[in-house]
Amino acid sequence: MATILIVDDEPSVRDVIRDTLELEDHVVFEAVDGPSALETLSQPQLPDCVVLDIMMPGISGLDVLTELRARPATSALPVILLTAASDDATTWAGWSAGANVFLPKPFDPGALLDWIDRVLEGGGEMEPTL
Amino acid sequence: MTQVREGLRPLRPPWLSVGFVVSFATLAGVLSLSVLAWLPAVVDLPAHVIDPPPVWLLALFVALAAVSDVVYVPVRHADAWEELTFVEVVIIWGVLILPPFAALSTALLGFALVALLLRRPAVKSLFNLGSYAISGAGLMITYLILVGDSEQFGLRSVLALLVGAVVFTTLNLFMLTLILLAAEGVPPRELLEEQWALSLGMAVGSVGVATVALSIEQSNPALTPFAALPVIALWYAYRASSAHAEGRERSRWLVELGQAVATPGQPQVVIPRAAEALRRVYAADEYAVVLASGHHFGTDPAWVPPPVPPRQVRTLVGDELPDHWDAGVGIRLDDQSGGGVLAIGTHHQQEWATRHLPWARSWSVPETDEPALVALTAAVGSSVRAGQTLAELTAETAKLQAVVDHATDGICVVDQQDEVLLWSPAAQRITGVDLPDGLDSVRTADTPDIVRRIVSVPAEPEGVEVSFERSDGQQLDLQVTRVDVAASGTRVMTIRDMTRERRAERLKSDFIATISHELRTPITPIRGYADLLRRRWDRMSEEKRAGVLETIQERADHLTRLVDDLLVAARTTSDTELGVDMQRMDLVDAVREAATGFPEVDGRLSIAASEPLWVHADRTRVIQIINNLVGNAVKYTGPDAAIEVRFSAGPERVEVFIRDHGAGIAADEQERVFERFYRIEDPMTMRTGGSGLGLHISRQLARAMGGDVRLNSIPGEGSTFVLQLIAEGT
Repeated sequence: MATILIVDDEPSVRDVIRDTLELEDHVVFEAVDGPSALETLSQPQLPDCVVLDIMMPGISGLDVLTELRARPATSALPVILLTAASDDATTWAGWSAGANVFLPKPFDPGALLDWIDRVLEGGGEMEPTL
Repeated sequence: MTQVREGLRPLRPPWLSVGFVVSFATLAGVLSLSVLAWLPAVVDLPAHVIDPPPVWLLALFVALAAVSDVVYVPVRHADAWEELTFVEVVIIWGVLILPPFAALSTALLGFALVALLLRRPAVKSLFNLGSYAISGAGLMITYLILVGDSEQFGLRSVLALLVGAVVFTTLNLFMLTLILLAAEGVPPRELLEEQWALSLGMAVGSVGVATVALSIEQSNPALTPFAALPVIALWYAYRASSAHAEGRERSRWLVELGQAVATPGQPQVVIPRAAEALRRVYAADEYAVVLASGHHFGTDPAWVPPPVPPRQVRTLVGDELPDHWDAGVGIRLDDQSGGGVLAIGTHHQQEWATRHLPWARSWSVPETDEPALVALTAAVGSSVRAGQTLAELTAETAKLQAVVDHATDGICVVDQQDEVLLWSPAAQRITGVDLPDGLDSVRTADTPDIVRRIVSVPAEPEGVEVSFERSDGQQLDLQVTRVDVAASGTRVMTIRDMTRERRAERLKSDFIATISHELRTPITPIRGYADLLRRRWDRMSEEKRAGVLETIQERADHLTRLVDDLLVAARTTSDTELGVDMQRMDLVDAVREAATGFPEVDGRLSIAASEPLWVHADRTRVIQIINNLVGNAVKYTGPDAAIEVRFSAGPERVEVFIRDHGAGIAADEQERVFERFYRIEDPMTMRTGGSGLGLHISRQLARAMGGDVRLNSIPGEGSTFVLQLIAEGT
């Protein structure tokens, strides 16, 4: 069982991730945009893992990730980036910002669970595949 | 002048024919002679009249009259010949010495003899004789009446003679006016203006000469012949002056000829000009030119010239002459189209103004002039050839100029010395830089930055992209292609404005990023829940499964709408019309139905109360448009900001206003938001979803229904979208 924060502006995407994770007995929190995610992650109680969407209004997921890596408390926090864009530039930007896993939408919930397990076990980062 | 004459022809009454005038002159002439024969019976003749005259004197007067008629000075002015004769002198002399009948009849006999000997046309001679008889009789009667019974030739006699001379001139001019009006339609006024001074001067001069002669005769008869000296002197003076005037005229036309052959031009310009000048130089009446190309100039378009050897002047004879000509020469004319023949010569027209010329004068070109004439004619040919070459070059240049002027791409030519030889109008339009070209070429170093960048691009087969900001602030993307012309060392740059293309490419790439986000996002829950249902069906409650299925269905519907929008947008690019099913419908009802699609903004969305508003439109499309517009308002405003919907009904148009209190849209974006795939935001960080198609589709649909979608927006205050439709009466 782990505590996981989902950050996505799209309710139906948050819902499906939440349902998937909760059925596997994970504890799930949600944030609807970048600022609220950063707010949640500035609390002393940190989640075990963050599932972060890139394309969000205002502050993008990449900006949130960059900010998290800049903070000592969250510099090593496992982050799984979700994106609907699958171009090389976005992928590269995601890796550069310090993502542990880069998962293009639409994704298989089984794959998401596998990756969460791997990052929670301290499993290495996924090699960038460009 | 000719045209004026033509125009004045109706002046001539129909009965005034040449036959009538000649008959009148003959009858009046005979009557005049009869009056003169009868005159001594009623008036006393002055003492100086020798009555009866001896036969030798009569014979002398006949001879004098004949000589005075033959010896004339041809005076040429403009294109007409005039003759100065001393007929008046002989007639006045006769009045003073002979009885009236004898004086006039001897003079007429002399003129008639000349006419017979020179075989002048009978009609013309008859007129001349009649005319002289009338005016001569007028002179004599006037003189004899006025001089009265004065015994001595004195002042009274001179005055009487002067008045008589005026009468003579008047009658003579009257007859001339009549015949010219009848024969050639010459307006009398014009003729009188030309002639009166000369005629009167001649008559008065003659009075002087005759008076002097008579005085000498009375004091010292042996010296009488010396009275003829002033006449002879006058004759020579006239002749010299006439020759001088003729020479001047000739020089003038030689200059004109020189100019004609020195100016390259088309045959239809050069040839008539040169031929006319040539005609004037040789005092010919007519010219005719026939070219091998079939063109005719001058008189007698039916003339078929005889073969003319090169570099020779051929005297035309008989049938070789154009119609109505009685003398002429032909010269070969060489031009590019195979040459032709140029002829000048005289005609035998009925020129009444000149009494003798056509018969007394023989026309020819002096043999010594022939080489010059041949050379001049050859020059006409060269001038025509040069003119044709010039015309071809001009046409060719005009074609190239048209290409340069009307090409959509700018053209710039720079020479080896780095001077701009050509900066086409399109180059000027695209870059906004105006450069002189041609003779006022500028060095590239002195040109604005953008020109220097354009002329210094490397020669790449694909061209080089040059971006710059034009003086009007517009950011432009140019594609400059350079071609080096090895032979001349010049380089040619074509400048293509790629701004629209580049923008379209950017829009397209933004669209792909946007649309992949929009399509993939709804697929995520569909696929995720399908997988979850498959794997964890048993662990999910009945209620959960129902909710999940509902989400799948809702997301699938969303995807369907998105795909529909894409298809509509794709259709608006092709020429296919958007299908709309027009019917009478209540706009207010449609708006209310569309609003039910936005339950989450129930509290924020206020729709003005309204009577039903009937429009002619497609109800489904109207709901689609309202959905788009209200959806936009919802997306782009804060969670609590109000969205108002108002109606406005005019006699022809009904409008729906959808007003939000969002951020508003900048002025330069207001029209662009209706472009396909246009999104104000960067796709990576955009706050809202959307394909960039909604407004484009809404406007296309509204227009397909005869309406439109407009936008009024003030940044910071919000936007109002207006859907306008065609009203349909209640």
